[in-house]
Amino acid sequence: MRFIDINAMLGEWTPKRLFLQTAEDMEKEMARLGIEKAYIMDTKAWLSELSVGNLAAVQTAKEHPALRPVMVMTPLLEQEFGGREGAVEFICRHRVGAVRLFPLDHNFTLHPWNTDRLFTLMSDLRMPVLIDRMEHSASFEEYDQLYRLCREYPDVPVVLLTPGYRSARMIYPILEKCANFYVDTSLLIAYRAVEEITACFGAEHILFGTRMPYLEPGTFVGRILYADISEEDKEKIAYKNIVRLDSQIRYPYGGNSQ
Amino acid sequence: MTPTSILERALSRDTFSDLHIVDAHCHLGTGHEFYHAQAAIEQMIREADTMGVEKLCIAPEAGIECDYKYGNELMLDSIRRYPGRVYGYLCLNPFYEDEFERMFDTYYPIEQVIGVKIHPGGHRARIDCEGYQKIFHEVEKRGGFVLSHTWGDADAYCNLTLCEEAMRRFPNVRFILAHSGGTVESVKRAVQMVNRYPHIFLDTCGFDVTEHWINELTEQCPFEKILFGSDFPYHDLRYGVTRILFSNLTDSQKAGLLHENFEKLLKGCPKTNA
Repeated sequence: MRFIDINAMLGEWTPKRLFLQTAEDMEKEMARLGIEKAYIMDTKAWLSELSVGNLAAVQTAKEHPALRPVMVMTPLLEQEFGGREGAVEFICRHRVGAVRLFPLDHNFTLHPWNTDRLFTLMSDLRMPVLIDRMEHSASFEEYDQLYRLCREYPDVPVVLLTPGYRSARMIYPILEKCANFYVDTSLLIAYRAVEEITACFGAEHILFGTRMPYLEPGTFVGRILYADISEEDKEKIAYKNIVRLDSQIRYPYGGNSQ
Repeated sequence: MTPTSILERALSRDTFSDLHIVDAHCHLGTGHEFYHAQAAIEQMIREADTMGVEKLCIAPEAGIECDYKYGNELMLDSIRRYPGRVYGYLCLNPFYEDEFERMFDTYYPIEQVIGVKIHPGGHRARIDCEGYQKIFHEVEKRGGFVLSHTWGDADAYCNLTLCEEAMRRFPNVRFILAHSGGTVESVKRAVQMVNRYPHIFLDTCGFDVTEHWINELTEQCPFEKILFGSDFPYHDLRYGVTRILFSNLTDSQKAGLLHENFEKLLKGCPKTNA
């Protein structure tokens, strides 16, 4: 089965070294497990210099065709991305596959009063937006904001990364109400969560993501291969859903999506 | 002909009944903090069959939350219904000291009851409290081992500083640090503890939410002191098992983690009254 990982990263880390240090290490691990492609960001874009990190991710992806760059963004289009045009230009030139947000670590609210310009742009581009927060750090207000964003921007695929095993009472209602809300498989580990989401809301809502190399990718490959769901649904989760979302991205410059 | 590796078999979705997998850290039923699918013992056994897991060692959710006696009844019912498939942990609440002896006398003579499970956070009692010390004295006398929940420094009941203080006083009792400390810093501390104390062991669930890979633990700890546990059904059994099957360990290490290390532990601490 093909696997495309929408949640991977490269770069330095603290308080310990991550198990995979380089893009070559990552490609070896991907080959061992049958992961065909990984969407990567650079840790500098998360926890150090945003623009330097974004450039590092696109440079790495240029040298490693199995890797696809993800751009980390914030609501400050003018100050941090050269305005709307600057952001579009970067996205098109580097064939960015998704935009990733860190509302908690980058100190901004996802509420539309703050993210309206960013999400208007994402909506115009039909760009998948990956929302990153580790499980125990999410507040109830963040889920309120996620729900509101999904409702106000129905053309933006909103992907909650690493939803964790304690989140069902929050994410199931959003999955029920919002066709554009997705979760990835990293730490979607509560008993039968994959099976229940598939049965109740559709496998279309789950994207394969590992959070490699922070987390061990093999277990998420195994979780899908051994899932108690149909082969067709496994394929949707493993790669077809992200291929479909990718085909819908509108790049104003440089032709259609890859 | 080269035998097919465990990883190759796993990529082909094989079932691993030949590995005689023992899951040393399971629960039963549902807890209060979050939702997961219903998990009665017959459902858990069905899931175990699909992965080739031979034995589940259970401490029902109720046993580590507000009604430990109900939890023990569920445990007893399960091991009677599935002899040879289910082992049980006796759950005890440290605030009910007057009931310890009766609980040990009732459950410990049953062969499939292999030790004691404690969850200091669930019972809101520090692991170094008097009640737990009395429990550890009983285990010292009666055999078996203690599986204790552990977590990071923010846990006021069973962070590893408290665990070390409590456990070092009982060198004749074998303790498993469930979740290996759970947070990135506490896993480092747990590794130090298993290297320092012969009677302290680790399990493989929980710290998977940190950036520690299973390979690193096998390099840093005496291998036979790492036991496979999944936290099923808090966590899906498929996830716990595939973490080992798809890891970068050798096949013999995978077999050790999934079965042999647990058998060694069990042989090393027989109960005196079984």
